[in-house]
Amino acid sequence: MHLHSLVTHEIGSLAKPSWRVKAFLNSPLNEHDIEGAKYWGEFLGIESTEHLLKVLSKKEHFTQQEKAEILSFSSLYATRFLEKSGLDLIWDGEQHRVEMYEHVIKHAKGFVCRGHVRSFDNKYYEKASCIDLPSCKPLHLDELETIKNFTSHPIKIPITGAYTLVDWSFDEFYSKHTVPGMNNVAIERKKSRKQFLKDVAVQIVHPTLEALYQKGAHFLQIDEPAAATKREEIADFVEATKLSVGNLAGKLFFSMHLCFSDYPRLMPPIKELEQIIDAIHLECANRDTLELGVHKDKRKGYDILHSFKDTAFKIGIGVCDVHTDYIESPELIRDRILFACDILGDPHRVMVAPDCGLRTRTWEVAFKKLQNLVFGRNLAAIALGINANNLARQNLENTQFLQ
Amino acid sequence: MNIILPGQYPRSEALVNATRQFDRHRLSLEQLKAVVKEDERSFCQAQRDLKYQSTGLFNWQDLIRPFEDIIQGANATTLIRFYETNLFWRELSCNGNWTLKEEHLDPWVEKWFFSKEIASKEDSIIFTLPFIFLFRKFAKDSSLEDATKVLKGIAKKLLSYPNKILYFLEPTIGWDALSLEEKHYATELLQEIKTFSKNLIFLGVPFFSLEKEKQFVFQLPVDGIGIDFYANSISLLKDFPKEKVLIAGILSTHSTEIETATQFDGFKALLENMQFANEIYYTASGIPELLPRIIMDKKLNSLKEWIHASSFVSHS
Repeated sequence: MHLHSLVTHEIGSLAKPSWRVKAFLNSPLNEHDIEGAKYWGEFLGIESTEHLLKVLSKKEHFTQQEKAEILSFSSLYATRFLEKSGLDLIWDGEQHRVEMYEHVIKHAKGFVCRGHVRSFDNKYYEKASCIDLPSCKPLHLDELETIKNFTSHPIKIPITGAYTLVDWSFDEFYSKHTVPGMNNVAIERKKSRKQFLKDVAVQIVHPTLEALYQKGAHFLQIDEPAAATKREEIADFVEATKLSVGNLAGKLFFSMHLCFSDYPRLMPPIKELEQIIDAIHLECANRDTLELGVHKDKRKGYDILHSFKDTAFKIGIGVCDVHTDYIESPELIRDRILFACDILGDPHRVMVAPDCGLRTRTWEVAFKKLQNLVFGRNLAAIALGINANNLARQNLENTQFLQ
Repeated sequence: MNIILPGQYPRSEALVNATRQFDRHRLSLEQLKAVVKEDERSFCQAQRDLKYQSTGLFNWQDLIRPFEDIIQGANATTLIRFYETNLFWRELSCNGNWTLKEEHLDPWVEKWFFSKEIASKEDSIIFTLPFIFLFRKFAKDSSLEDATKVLKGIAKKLLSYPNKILYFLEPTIGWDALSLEEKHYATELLQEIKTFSKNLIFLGVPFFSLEKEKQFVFQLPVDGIGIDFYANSISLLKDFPKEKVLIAGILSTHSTEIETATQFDGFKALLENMQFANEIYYTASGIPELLPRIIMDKKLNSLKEWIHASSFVSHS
């Protein structure tokens, strides 16, 4: 699959509006929540805002049908939010999901949630155990159908990858009854984990990818933030990706998002995915300086791109830090893109996004970051002499996005 | 009972929720402290039969963060993955020379290493510190010399209290190949620390195979060595020094399956022909915090029941 130059998108999550969160937590809404719905409805040009406000005016005790409406509005708001910011690839910022791991685990068979474990600081996530053969009906199909109703732009659907699902879970099925200290205990554990990974790839991830393809998805993003966690399992991660994509390789555009990872560990095994995954998306802004310029001393966060230069992948670069409210200027984003284009040698190989999902930022901050991301992309295009018609968004209105 | 639980014990679901609410300004500091106390109290209760108790370090964010308060010019900054887990610790950066604020050492130790809920200063407590390679990994641009200076100063203070175990955590051994110079630093530091008091010094080396470094680890001047028996087979112990205490990591932190008496018996059977001058201590294979609290509690109970039953059988 081929894309136009410097395609922009948001990686994953957006914060959920307070009216959506409270409605599902059965917590009463206040005037501030309703004012927020009104403000963003008007700002985003949502035609049916009045209807949402009428539903929300009840403030509490929402019925299942009303909650379904609220969820749908939340998806509509987020989709329009990304459209209005000017991005090329659109989705709804995870409005249908609890969170990228928990959503899958709670829909899959063979898993049971065990309690919270720390991720960092006071941030915890609910971790599950695999207690039986894992399987899952295809996920995200309703999400795709809903978003299709809200936008005419190309839609990207992110899917949590097999390796991350396994690495973030406990195993008490495949390595059941291991005796500590037994002969080859580490080797036996490794074998168990390989089987776990294979089953999750084949029984959970592939069916979802296949079903989304059958439903007309063109862009799928496999999220694998855990890919580089264990240095001796990089080959297993690659194998799991091959099994996950299976016969879909080449039929649609696959990107893979890898963030906050030890990227050099992935080389060279990840090259085996060259004919399977079209784009690799990296988090770079978090590692970069805030100074303008295209000298390597200013663009330290993008040094890793040298390792990917001689691959066949398109490379998505993170140009906004998702963990700060600092608004990157269009000029800073321009310079980050230009530096990446210089290393990779071809703007067609470069995609542009934030480092990760923006769920920890307010909508005000997220919007400014994304809008500047698009402005910065446009400045880079001018500097590179790219005709506006070759930029994805401009091309969308007239011709097919995919070539 | 010969079980030790060094390091950070998992926070209860109530405390996890309380810290979240506190961060969102929905809970006062006093309310949060009350929940921390309750965690300490229940953990204390769970350790009632143990020879040495831990405080659980429920108010620690990670094993490095408290150093921010005691090193001149130190600040916790970016997140770094804790070895091959999904846990992230904050890196410490320092705009000085990694010098301890000596005048603040007493209140600092009081704040971070003791808990009124657990025990008095004279009671048998396990203190946990990162060892030098772990410290260096999370202390930006620090040298082994810096790490040694900091840890030596703190160890000296901690070891001035009676009836304590000082437990150094060090996953780096087995994970990274160490140079001769690095090994020399480790040996020299431990030799010096051994002279500070008669308290026991243990070194825990979890997560990775020690096969390539076993000679180095076994000859280190410590009283006990903690081994992860989900990363190592029992054959590793062939050359285990008889005079040292074996701290057997047999509660898996990779799995929520509660180990059964059959599994513990299986482990004991593997040790059948081995001689140890000291009794074996049991602990978690990795760090307990990798498990949810309810699971770790159940694992601990299962181990205690097995030890209790084994001791009953051996005495009857």
